[in-house]
Amino acid sequence: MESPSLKLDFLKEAPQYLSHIDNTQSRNVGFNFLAFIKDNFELNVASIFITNYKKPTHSDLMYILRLERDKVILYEKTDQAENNIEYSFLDDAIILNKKTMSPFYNNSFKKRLSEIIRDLKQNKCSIFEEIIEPE
Amino acid sequence: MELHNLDNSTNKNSANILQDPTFANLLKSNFKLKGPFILRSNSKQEKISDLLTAVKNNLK
Repeated sequence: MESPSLKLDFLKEAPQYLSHIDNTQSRNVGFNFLAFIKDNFELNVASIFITNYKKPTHSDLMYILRLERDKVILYEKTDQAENNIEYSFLDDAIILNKKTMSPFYNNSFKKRLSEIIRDLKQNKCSIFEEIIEPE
Repeated sequence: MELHNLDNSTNKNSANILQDPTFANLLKSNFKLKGPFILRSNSKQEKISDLLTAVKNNLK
């Protein structure tokens, strides 16, 4: 008779064992996305802004992304259009210009996030922290 | 609305943006920022890119 076994392999995916976030999928059992966000937000930081405003760029698209503990909001502006996209972590909903989008929109938003991550890595954007003032 | 560059960053571009009234108005009108708030520049690109990567990976 085979003895019962307990597999703990998933623990190596827990945030404290990761050397780099690129090495994991946040849907893995051991990875707690909200805990990772919370742990990487400094206590006195309310939100983080990322923008290419006034940065030299080949595109006419200006963006400001605001990352909070429970959502991310992306404002984009071109000569022709303005968009406001909000992704809530709590209910996995994406709202584009006040309209709830279907899950099919997720890939477009992921692509935009990838482009902004690329800008970050290539130092093509500025980062600001919104500080919580001590009372 | 108050915008302050709290750190002693030598990044002129970041400091200029924080003093740009157009940027302040964009924040105010698109992110529902009310009253005075404080911004400071941050140069931790790798850490912020890890956070955004986690957000991206969380999307199904």
